[in-house]
Amino acid sequence: MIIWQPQAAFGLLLVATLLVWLGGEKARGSSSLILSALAGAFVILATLFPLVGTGQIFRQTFSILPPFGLSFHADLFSVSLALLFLFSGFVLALYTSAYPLKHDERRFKTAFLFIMACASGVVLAGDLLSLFLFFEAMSLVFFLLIIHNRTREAIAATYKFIYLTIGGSMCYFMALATVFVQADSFAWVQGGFMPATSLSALAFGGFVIAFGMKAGMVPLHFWLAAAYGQAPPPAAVLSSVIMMKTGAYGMIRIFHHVFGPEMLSLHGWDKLILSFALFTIFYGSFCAFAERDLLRRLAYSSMAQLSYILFGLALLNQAALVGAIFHILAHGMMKGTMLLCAGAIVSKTGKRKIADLEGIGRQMPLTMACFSLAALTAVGLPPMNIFIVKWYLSLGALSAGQPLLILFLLASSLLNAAYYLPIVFRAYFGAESSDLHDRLVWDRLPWPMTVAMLLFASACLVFSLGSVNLPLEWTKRIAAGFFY
Amino acid sequence: MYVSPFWAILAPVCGGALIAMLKESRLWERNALAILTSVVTFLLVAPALPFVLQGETLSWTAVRITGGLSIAFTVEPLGLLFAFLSSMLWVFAALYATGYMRNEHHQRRFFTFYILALSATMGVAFSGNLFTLYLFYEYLALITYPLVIHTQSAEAYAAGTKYIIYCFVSGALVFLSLFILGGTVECLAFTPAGVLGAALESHRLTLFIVFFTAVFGFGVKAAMMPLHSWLPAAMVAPTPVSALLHAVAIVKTGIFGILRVMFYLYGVDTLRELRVADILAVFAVFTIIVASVLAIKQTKLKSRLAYSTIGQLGYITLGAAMLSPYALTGGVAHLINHAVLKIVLFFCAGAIITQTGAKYLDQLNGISKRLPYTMFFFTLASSGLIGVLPLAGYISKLYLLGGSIEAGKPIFGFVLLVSAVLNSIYYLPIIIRAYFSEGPYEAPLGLESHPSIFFPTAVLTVICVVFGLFAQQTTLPLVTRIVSSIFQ
Repeated sequence: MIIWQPQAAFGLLLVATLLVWLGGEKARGSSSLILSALAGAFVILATLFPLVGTGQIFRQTFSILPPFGLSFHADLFSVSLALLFLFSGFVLALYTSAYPLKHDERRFKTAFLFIMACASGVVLAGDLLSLFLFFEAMSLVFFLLIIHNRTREAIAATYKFIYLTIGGSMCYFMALATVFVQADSFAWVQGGFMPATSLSALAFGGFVIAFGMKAGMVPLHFWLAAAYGQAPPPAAVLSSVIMMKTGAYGMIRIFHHVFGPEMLSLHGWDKLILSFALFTIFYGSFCAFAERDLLRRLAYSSMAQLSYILFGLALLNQAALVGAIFHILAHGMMKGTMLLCAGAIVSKTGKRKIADLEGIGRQMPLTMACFSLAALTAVGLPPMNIFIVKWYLSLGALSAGQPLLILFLLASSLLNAAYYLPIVFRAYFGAESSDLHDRLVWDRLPWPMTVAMLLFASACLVFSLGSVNLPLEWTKRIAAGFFY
Repeated sequence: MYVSPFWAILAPVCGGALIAMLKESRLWERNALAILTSVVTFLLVAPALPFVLQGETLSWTAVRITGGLSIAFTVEPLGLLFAFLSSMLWVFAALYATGYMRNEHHQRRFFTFYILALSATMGVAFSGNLFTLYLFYEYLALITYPLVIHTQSAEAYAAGTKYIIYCFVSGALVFLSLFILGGTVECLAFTPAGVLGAALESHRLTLFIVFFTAVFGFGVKAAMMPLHSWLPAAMVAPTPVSALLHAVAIVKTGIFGILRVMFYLYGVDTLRELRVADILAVFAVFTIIVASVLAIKQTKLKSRLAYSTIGQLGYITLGAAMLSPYALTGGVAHLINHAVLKIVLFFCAGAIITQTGAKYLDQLNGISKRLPYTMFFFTLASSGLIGVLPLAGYISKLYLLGGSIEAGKPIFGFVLLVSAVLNSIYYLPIIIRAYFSEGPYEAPLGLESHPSIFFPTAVLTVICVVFGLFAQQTTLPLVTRIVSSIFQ
């Protein structure tokens, strides 16, 4: 059966990108154009949902992009992720439409929409080369957002990011060439298609470096803090909620649809990734703890949180994978809220240092309420959805026969509490600095920013309250698809 | 049957002669004639493509001098690829040159030799044996000397002298090889399986030594290190010359000669037997890395592009030297892809020089304000050379890397990766500087550069994307045919 939705959604976003650019610097309607394009793409892909929900897989290959063509692939996993990305992108676009960017709005918004198109392309791509096309385009264009402020530090952060990206791409290229010669195919196959040869370690290493860099895996993480510190906050949200997740997504595909769990556990590569993930969780948490800048602290925290996904993936069992995939959603909503709040604080008060945030809870109560909710989510308190993640990751660790790993998860929760809660306490109970009013002042944010924050914040909560947790059901089905 | 390719050698000679007869002041006629000659040559070459793709070849012995020596021509995949590519790019470059040179002196001389060089290139492409190749190779060297010294400054004369000395050394080495090889086998006609295999038992040492004299002879033109220094010096020539001759035609005749010697005289089996390819690969690796590092140190835009050319030519040599079908596919594909990408970069550099006079990199701050589209083309073409999808360069890189895996030598693959990172180190700062630094430039009024400079650049940039996305429909069939004929 021929499907048109992935191509149509991607094409729509691409055309909209072009229109935003052609619209010029002073175009009024660019924000509504972006919003309607994202909504349109969401609706188009949503029509695919009933089809893939039954477990069907669709592929479509075009004879461009040699050697094997550009292909789109729609299964429950890719469509759900694409929908999640488009939803997050919509919320973020709403926020960005009111965020004071000060200059070069056209460039920022064009790059934003282009990255959205490519991120949907990454999850909808049907083979390694098509994925690489979108992945690389997305990564390279992101530098336009980091460099936005054009300061010396921003340019330094840009160079750091872009050289690392190109290095990662080259490793990917090497891996791709190995697969090209040895397997003569790029398309996803359930259980993997790569033959075991002496050079398959080279291929695996190349992919891990490229995707691990995007997901902020130590030791490939050092672009992250610099980029978050210099880029405008909407760009940091885009990276944390969407772009870093594509790294995790790629890793999942590599594990299950290129090499296959058997080959990984045979070579012990799953243990390798597991130890990198654990190390990243702790390294990221400690760095976040030591960091004084709000956005940079969130960057290190993103790094640590993303490794939960790698952790769940590397355990190679179904329960852990449920935790890993659900974390893509849970972390997106949680970190999205926090970064949107941080962006609101920066844009409103210009304060970035955590020490300066004394009493900000009175000045911006709504923002800090959302932030506190997200902070509690991150710690993993039961009603919120990161609790579900930790629950399933623990189940996974138990069934992998490694109960000690649960202790690591608990320790990580404590660290999360240690670096998030002081911000919250300080905001509400800290001594007020002299330039603040001593009475309650409402946030005075433009409404789109408030709405965006509230949307993400409620998404932290809403999925875990009802008796039927719809996303969790989907996640279970997705994970079951990997281990049938 | 199609004999038109042979006319493609003659047509530019007539065109060049007509241009030489026109007075210096006849600007329009001269420009029209130059463009027309290139177009006619291209149209003479192009119809042979479908025949060659079907597997047909054609040879024609024009003059039999004595014994094995003859002037012979052949139309077969590799030669046609080179002829097609050069004559196509010549059309764009001739158009570009009419815009670039419009205020220069000695235009008649310039265009005469510019068009004559096309005939020499066609001769190289269609030559059927080593002797004919040598003749046209020397002819090309002589005919391009007036183009190098065009500005007639002291610097230009020095560069010209250097150029001609290197060319003669190169020619002498090829000539020497020609004589020695002529003594070992009867006929030096180019055949895909090689002709020297027969002499392997009796003349092993000779063949071993002559491989290096021949390959390094052509290697001078291919700017193989340490015989490269004529190329950066020759950047003193006007940009159309740098773009076409020093990024495409001349250096690629060197590469073409290396391919001819390796695969059409020695043949894959003989090369494997002699174990010479690995030594060549080491030189290629050395060239790739050193040229890329030296490129970073250049302060002039055109010199940086020249060193980049040296490194990229090393890719092709390496692709040939790995002796694997994938690697050779990558190498031959890179012959095409590098040509279109690098000519765009030079065209952009030329547009910058004519519009702003900026030659040094630190003059490029904020230049995207003055030349927004040109810098966009520059960005695309340079990312293509780094290997970014879906621009032309990635195909060749994928096959080259695949070749290194296939040959069981991933170390060569790593060299290519390191080189790609070095490429980004010398291209990206130019782009960041152009777009994100403050500079003295103002937005253009109307079209940002002369139409005959702007449009060829734009069209070629589109071709860069087409050769990447649609390689299966454009470049790869011919390349695969070449490779499959060599590795039968």
